[in-house]
Amino acid sequence: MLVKRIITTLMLNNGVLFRSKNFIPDYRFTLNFIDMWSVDEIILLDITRELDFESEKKNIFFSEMKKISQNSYVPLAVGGGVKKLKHIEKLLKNGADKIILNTISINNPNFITEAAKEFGSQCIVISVDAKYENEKFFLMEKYGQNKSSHDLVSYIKLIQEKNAGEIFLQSINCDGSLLGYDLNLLETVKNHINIPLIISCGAGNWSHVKNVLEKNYVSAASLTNIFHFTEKSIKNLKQDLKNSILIRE
Amino acid sequence: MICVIDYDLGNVISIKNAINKVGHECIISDKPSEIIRAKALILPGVGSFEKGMKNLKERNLINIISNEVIIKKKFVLGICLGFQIMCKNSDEFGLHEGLGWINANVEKINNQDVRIPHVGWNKTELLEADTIFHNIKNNELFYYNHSYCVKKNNDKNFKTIAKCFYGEDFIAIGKKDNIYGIQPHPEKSQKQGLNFLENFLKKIC
Repeated sequence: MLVKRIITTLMLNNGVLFRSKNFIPDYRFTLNFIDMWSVDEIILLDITRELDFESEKKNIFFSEMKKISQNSYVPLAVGGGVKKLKHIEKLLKNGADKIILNTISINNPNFITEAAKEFGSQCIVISVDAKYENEKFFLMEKYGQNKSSHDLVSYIKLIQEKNAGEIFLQSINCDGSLLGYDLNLLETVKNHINIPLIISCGAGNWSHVKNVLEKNYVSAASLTNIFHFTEKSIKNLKQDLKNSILIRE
Repeated sequence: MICVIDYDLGNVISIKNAINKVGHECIISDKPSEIIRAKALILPGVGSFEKGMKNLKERNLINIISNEVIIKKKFVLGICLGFQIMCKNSDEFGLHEGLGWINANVEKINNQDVRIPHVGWNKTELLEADTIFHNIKNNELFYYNHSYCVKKNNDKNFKTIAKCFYGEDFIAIGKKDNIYGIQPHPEKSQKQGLNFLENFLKKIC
């Protein structure tokens, strides 16, 4: 039986680990908060603004990514600025196991198919960033700042038609809030997703995580800031979940 | 020295890190001389079947590795797509021919009740005693990430030694003489994955 995954999302801003709130980097974060043996998967995002993938400054990210990959024997999904197939190849050659796409899949959804044909669907994760405003959820782009011209639900359907492997769903409103995952967002999209879904943003206690992992359509929950405040947190979380949810102990 | 075949389609650094972690030296290469000199080969693969075969062809690697594995009986471990490519063919994005070292077809996981791809940690049921399972318990979790798999084994010399269930049964680990294939990613399966790699490398070194 496939078990539910506990993922941690790490964000690098100019090579420095940060937490974020509402998609804006706030506090510095350290890898010491993460127990590399207990976590099931790591998502690593380069959130440096306006950084061209091919610029020399990107090397800071690559060197940090290599360090993280050398100390983790769980899958590492990496994103930030990927626009070409050769970017994917470079990430895979430097320690990534899966790739996260965002801007390019909004601007050119056919890129998802191109990438899946080369690297397989299972390698291509699409980050879907949503924001609630005026009683409606919007798909956001440009670091969550601008509304996309795609309708959220139509976009979710489209990326699956284009062979996306997984959806990494982020709620900008809930990011860094510690008030719980965005359950309304999940309700809005749940009937339109039939590939694995990772929900992110908002976990503030273990029952928040339990609430989402109990849903059959959620494959994984991502946590970040909460690990800043609790000791031995991933182990404790798993201890708390293990009686009610099938997880990797 | 272990050689991870570099055909621009794999998480090669992840595999190298894991091999180093269990105490073996490892190079990532597509050079015939290094492939010939290596004690064992790892055929990695994060990619589509067609692209995998195309890249091996373009780098003129097919004859070299086939000679090492089939004629010289060098130990080889195919991981994920690397395992699939050792089979006869696959119907991923159209029907494509593989290396054909194992007489089996690669097919899509076909069950409406499960989400494709199969991503995450799943139980791996050991079917036969094998030294490659030293320190690995039955039904331990390994990390899987794939949409295609080998369900039926038409090769009487290829033994299914572990299986996994995701909507249907498929081969998790199989072997044929010096050829080992594993569908999950041992390099990304924590302690049990590292144990698996260590056991494989013990056979050779």
